[in-house]
This record gives sequence, C-alpha cells and structure tokens, in this order.
Amino acid sequence: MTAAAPLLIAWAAGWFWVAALTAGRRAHGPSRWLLEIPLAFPVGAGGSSCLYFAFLAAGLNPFPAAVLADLIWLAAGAALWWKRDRQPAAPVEKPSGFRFAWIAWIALAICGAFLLGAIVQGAAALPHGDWDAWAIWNMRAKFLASGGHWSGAAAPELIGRSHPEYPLLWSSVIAKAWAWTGRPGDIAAPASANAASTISLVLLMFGGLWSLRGAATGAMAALVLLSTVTFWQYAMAQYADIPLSLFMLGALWCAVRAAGDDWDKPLLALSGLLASLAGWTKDEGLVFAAGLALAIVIAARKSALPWLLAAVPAALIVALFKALMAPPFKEWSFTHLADVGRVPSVLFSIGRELLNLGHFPTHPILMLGIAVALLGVRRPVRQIWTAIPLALLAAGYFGAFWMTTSGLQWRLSTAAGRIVLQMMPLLIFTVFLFLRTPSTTATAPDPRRKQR
Amino acid sequence: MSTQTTTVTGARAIAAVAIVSALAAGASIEYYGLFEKVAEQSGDAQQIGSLVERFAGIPRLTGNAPRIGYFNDRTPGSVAQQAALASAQFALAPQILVLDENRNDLEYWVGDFNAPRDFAGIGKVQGLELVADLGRGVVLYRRGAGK
Repeated sequence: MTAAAPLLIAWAAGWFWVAALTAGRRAHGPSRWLLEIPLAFPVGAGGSSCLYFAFLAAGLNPFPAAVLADLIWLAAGAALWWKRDRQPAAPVEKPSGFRFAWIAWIALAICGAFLLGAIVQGAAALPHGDWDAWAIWNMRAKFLASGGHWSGAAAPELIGRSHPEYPLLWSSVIAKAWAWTGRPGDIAAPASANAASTISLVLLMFGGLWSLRGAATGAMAALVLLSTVTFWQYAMAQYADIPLSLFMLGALWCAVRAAGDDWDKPLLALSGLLASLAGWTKDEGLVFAAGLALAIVIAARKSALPWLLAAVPAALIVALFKALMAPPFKEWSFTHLADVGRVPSVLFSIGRELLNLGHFPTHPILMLGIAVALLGVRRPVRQIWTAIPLALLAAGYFGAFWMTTSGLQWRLSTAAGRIVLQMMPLLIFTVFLFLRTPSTTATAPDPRRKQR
Repeated sequence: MSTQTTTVTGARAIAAVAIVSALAAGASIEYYGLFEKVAEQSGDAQQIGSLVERFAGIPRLTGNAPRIGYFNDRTPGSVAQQAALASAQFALAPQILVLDENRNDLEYWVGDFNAPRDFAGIGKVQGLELVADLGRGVVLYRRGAGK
C-alpha cells in the first residue's frame, strides 16, 4: 500500500463529517463540491490523527492505532451523515452571478496547473522537504510511527533542535500514514499530505467565498493567494504552516457561514473543531483559536456553546500534552516588554516580509488594493467580528517577537516570513468578505436572509 | 437597502476581475519558472536521502537502544554542529541522540566526522572503544572501562 492511501481514507472520513454538518445549509451547485472536498481534508486528517495520538497514548501499537483511528473516524462520520443527510435542507441564498467570472476561472486554471507543476518539481528537488519538515515534523513523526517510542517525540534531549514542545497534529498525520504501511520515513506520506493541504487551501478559498459572495469573488481571492510567492515556497518546503492556514481558514469560513444562518449549530461545531485542531497543529493556532472563540462569544453570545463544546476534545489533547509531555521551554519573557527598542526591529521585519510576499507588479497586497479600489466596501459594514481572529493573531505574533527569549534578529529572520504567510489566507478571505460582489445585474437581496 | 451597497456592476467589476486574473497568471508563470530552476539544479538538494543511508547500520548494531550518545567534529555550538546533529537525528529517529559528553548512562556513542581521522584514537581519549567504522565518516563506539 502506498503511504498516500491512508490519507485518502482520512479525507473520505472528513467528507462524511463535513457533508453531515453542512447538510442543513448546503451550498448549491459546483461550489458545494469546491467547498466540501477541501474542507474534508483538514476535518478528516485532523480528527483521525487526534484519535491516533490518543490510541498511542493509551498503549496501542502504531498499526492498530492507525487502522482503528481511521475506521472509527470514518464510521462515525458516515453514521452522522446517514442520520443528517436525510433531513430537509433549508434554502440557501444564491450569491449574485457575474457573466465575466469565466475570466477569473481561466486564470485560476492556469495558476493551478503551474502550482501543481511546482509541487511536483519541489518534491523532486526537496523529497524530504526543507529543514523544518524533516528536522521537526517528519522526524517527530518517526517516533509516533515506531512501536513503543511515541513519547520520544517530546523528549527533552530534542530541545534546541527539534522543538519537542511543539504540538503534534501534523506529525501524527504523517505518522499515521507510515503506520498503515509499516514504512516510517517513506517520503510519499509527507509529500502527499503537503500537496493535499496546499490544494485544499486554494480550493477552500475559492469554494468558500463562492458560496458566500459568488464565483468571481471566490476566484479572485484564490488568485491573490496564488500570487503569494511565499505560499509557493512553503508548499515546496512541506512545513506545517500551510496546514495551519487551512485549519484556520476552515474554522473562519464555518463561523461566517453559521453566523449568516442564525448561528447554525452544526456549522458552529465544525468551526470549533477546526479551530481547536489549528491549536494542535502549531502554537500559533492556539492564538487563533482564542481569537475566534472571543469573536464568536462576542457575536453569538449564548449561541456560541456548540463552538466551545466542539473545541473541547482537541483542546484537551493540547492541554494534556503541554502539561504532561512537552518539556518546559521558555519562549517568551515579559521582562523584554521594557525593551521598547525591539519594536522598530519587529515592525521593520514584518514590513519587509510583507514586501517579500511577491514581486511588483504582481504583488498580492497590490492586487488586494486593486480589488478594494475597484469593487469597493459593502455598506453598511457588517460582521466586524470576523476580523477579530486576524487582529488578535497579528497582535499575538507582534507580542511574541517583542518578548522572545531567543536572539531577536535570529527569531525574526527565521519566523517573520512564515507568520506573515500564515495570516495571508485569513487576510485575503476577510478583505473579500467585506468587498462588494461583482454582479451582472443589481439584484435585490432576499429580505428573509441575514446578510453574511 | 440599496443593491449597490452589496454588488458592483459594469466596467468596474469587469476591470477588477480582469486585472487580478492577468496579474495572477503572470505571477504564476514567473514563480513556476523560478522553482523549475531550483529543481533543475539538483535532486535532493539537501542530500537527506544519502544522510539517512550513512547511519543505516546504527540501529542494528546498537540493538535499537532508545538513547545513544552523539558527537561530531564540527566547531562546538556552531550552526554546522547543530545541522549535522539534526540530520543525524532525523536519520536515526526513533533513537534519541544525546549531545552531552557527561552522560555516563549511555552505552553506545555515534561519531560523525567530516573526514577520515584516527577514529580509534579519538574514542580512546573519551574512554570509548571503537565498535565499527561504517564508512563515510560514521563511527560507532561503546563505552569502555572509564571515561
């Protein structure tokens, strides 16, 4: 069995979960599939890898743990889908159509083909990925895929070179695929998982915004993402940053969609699950999850309960890992807040990384600016809460740099680029959410529906 | 609510879609060219595959000991030392490499050298017996009478 096959099982399991939880508010036409398929990957790979890690911690060997995790996640998703898919779906507002959306579709097809080519080229040039891929995520995955050694992924001896204190979702995804095949280290697993998350992120941007704002808006947002050169670099590098962005974007989309449907409980639950999985992917995901939780509690108040409940299982895994397994590592110190001289360095570095996102005149920030100038902002501006997670994430990153206990210049040179990239999908999504929708004709919105 | 507050029609909408599409297509063509050049330069640019092969004999010779000592001949504390350690750790995981010469509880030690040297002599200085020279600078030691 190829190491890519278990990823497909997890992906299929994820589709059942997504189809079940969006059954009442299903998108229409092709956007349904462009949404459910990419959203299924983080739900399937994330959920089953959490089970896999829990089974390892309970004492199971990697192979039975992998098989059980995938089959249980698949069976539970299928059972939920069987129950919920038969319920009548509520009518979903169709976004405005735009006769010239085909221009963006053609461009998207061209860009997508080149991205696929680059991923294949990248897998040949860096079959084990770049430094962090093999030195952190895949190296720790080898512990999780080897019988009796799983706790070594957080061994204190690894401090200083492999971050044993980092969360273990992405390593678990790779390890589970290796455990199925019995070939730890097989490059097909991380390469396939990386390609799946890269493609899913682009499709989720496209399909997610299509369902909310129409096909032209979705395609434009995906095109801006594809114009981000660091997105291409990290797709080749096989780091965990693109999977993290995928979890974060999925969580935000589900929350926005739920808000537009009177805080639809299943969609809110899906959002909470994905946000907590982001927290189990990288520490930055914890900041995002906290930001989204805050935003939803502010906006939904008592209706936020399904979000919070769905976030509990993965949050519990993170908490137990941090409390019982992860070696202590002091990454920040509040005493550095007194060093105000760090602020210009951090701002300059983030500004430089924003410039490094692309090459003029095809720079993604310039393209966002063009979109804002030509499309204009929707009036009145609604659902400001959707910007809270991004704002809190940016503030958290800024604070983390300011308070870092590592050398500031070293920390900025190694991390500023990736944190800017992590935020880009959220930034693009949020900006297009607030922009007016390209439309062939001005059509009156359905007064029965809430404005998303 | 006016429909113009949520939708945009006509030339502005067409221009937005066309400009973004054209720029993105241009960016993708440029980026693909850049990455194609990188890919053409070499396969497995970081040589991780060959690094894994260098250490392939260690797990069997050490009986898959969960922790083994490690030292190399790069400057202590340097980036080169850390890079060599990280790649050896990737090759040997799930065995944990310990870069601490004061650890007396470890039976096996891996030496990772850049060039041929008097491997037995280097081990003797540290109280280690040479077990096997695996070639390409990888040497396995075992703790001797005392260190």
